[in-house]
Amino acid sequence: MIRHEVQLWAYAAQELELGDQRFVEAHLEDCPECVEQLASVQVAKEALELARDARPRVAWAKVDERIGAMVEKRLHAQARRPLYFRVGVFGAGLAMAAAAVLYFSMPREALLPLPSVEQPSPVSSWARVDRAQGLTRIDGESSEILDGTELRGGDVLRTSKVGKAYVHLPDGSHLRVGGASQLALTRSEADDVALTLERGSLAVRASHQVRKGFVVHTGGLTVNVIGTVFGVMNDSEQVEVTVTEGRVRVELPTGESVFVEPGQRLRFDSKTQRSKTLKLTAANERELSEVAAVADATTSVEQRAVVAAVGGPPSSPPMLTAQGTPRSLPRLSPSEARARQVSAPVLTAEEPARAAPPIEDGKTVLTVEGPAEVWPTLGGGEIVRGVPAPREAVVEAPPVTQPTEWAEAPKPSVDEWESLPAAAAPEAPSAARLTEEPAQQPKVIAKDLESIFMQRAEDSIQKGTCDRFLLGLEDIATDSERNARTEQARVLRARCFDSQMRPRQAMSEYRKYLEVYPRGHFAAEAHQALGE
Amino acid sequence: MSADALPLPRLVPSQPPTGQTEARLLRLVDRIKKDDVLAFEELYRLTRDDVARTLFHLVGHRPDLEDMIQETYLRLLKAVPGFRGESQFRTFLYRVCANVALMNLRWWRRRKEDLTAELPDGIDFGQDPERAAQAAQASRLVHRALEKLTAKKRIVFVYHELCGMGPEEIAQAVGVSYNTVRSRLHHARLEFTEALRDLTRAEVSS
Repeated sequence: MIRHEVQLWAYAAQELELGDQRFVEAHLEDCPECVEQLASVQVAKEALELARDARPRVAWAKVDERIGAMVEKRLHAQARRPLYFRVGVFGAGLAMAAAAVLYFSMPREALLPLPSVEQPSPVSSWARVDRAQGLTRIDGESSEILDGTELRGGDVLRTSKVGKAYVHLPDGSHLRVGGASQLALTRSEADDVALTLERGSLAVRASHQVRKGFVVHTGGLTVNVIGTVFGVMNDSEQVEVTVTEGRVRVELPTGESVFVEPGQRLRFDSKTQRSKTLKLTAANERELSEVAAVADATTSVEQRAVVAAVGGPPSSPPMLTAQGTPRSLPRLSPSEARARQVSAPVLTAEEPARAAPPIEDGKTVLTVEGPAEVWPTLGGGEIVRGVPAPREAVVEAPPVTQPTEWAEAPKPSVDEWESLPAAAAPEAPSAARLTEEPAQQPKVIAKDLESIFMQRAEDSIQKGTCDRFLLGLEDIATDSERNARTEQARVLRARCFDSQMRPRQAMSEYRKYLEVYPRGHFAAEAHQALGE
Repeated sequence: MSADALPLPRLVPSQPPTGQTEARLLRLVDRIKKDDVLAFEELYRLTRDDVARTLFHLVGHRPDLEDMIQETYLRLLKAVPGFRGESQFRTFLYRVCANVALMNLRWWRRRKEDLTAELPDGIDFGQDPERAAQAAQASRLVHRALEKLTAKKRIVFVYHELCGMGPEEIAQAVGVSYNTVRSRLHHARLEFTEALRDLTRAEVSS
């Protein structure tokens, strides 16, 4: 009997396949009891159908207010954070001072035997070009990028048709930018990465570091990375996402969300707006295994350098020290030694890091599997022992036997921001500037979250923590309904970029502002920032 | 013909919510994870009607529906940072609703108050008066019959029959296996039909 009713529910709900439905219909002809039960089931289904449309009347004003108050409480909890941060920074400062006192009070001899190579920091906020060929940065005027150049969020890279580049992101991920590509590092933080591939191809070996997100935007698609090796290709007609390890979640412009698994290739046709899942081709696999091999080799060399620096096995090679070239490595030429210094105090533009010294006899090659022609130099163009030199150099160089070394990229001596014309530099953000706008009444958070958000964004600019407000400000600024708030949001974005020493983005925001509000409240500020 | 020979039903999942909305919700979740409070407000505006209707179906006509909505969003605010995008956001939201509803149902069961005896006020049944009257009657009967089910069976039944979710999605939303969902659903269907039949007979006789 129980089975009857269950099946009758399925029959009434049309959950049975055609053959099964006919089977039940045939059964009903011989079973009057079942017909009676089916009538009960149908009554229940009809009642449910009618009840489904019922919508409770909720006092939304009351609920909105209560939920707003709840959010306000959370906001206050966030507002207290900076205090903890200040205490933390103060504590860190004390610790550093104590370390400095300890350092200077110790006998110098005691320090000498310790190799003091600066360890590569995986949480640096800088991305770095490991190796580049035909790579330029688009910043008003195209400038060629050399090996070892450090990149920041907002930089736009472009490769020539035959060019390619290997980039090391702050979160430990590695990229290979293919030929004829344009890539924007929208966000490049140790815990948050967002890339925009305008065109071309990109292969990624994402690190497994815990982070807020790793997203690639391209051709209307959003690829959310979940620790993986994957590639993205975007030409004018279609976008392809390929995966060999892990998996990615792709949000299509149609709103669908698709997971791409290892061995799969998702092709999205931009014209028909249709996607198709295919198998990986050999070329896809080769490209992705290449970037994975490079990433592994880079990580391996760095780890070995760190191990050696902190006291590796007896057979480990002596490391270059931060203070300069050690006497134990007399075979290094002065120019090479200078290029390898971890913290070169002065390095002019005429001595770019990529001016790699000639390969000398006696250097060894670290045995790492992978195609030799793809090894990047590490740390900014200096020759890294253990990594094969460029192909033409390898041909000339005899087998070498000296161990691996690693040194960090030399820092550029000229701060690019200092070279900007003074008139172009916008004024430092100040709270007084906002008073030019009609004063906004302090509002209850429950009723106007947007104004609170703007206020917090403005405060965060002065604190230097405005990054997290940029997205929200963009949302407000692009609101179809133009008003004082959208205007202010655009200016706040500009000020935020300005406070973060990102003048290109700041100027771009000011230009957008002037396009929309040529006579706006902040037009004078925008003109001044643009040097007009 | 023996009843045992009848084919087993195949539960058909209903259509998922539109992808456009889902993608928008996921983008908002990303922003909320970055402490963008404005995004939470937008998410609230987008989902509040759905949440209210779902909670109403799950627990019936209760005087504390507003409290439940607030509780749902409070839990959601705390839980969103842990959302990894492995399921649809709506499924995640329904899981929060299910937990809130489960607590509420158990609390009211302990009070042993029958809240569904009267025709519920404050419920919108649409513009057509005739259909509204039918819907009001049906809604009262349905919710009284649902009171006869245990809380866990009720949640599965409501999600499938009133919210249109498929068994796999319910399994994710409730945190049990697919087979458990099937089992609870089948038992709930039997109990619901029986309860509704009894209620209808009682109404007719009175």
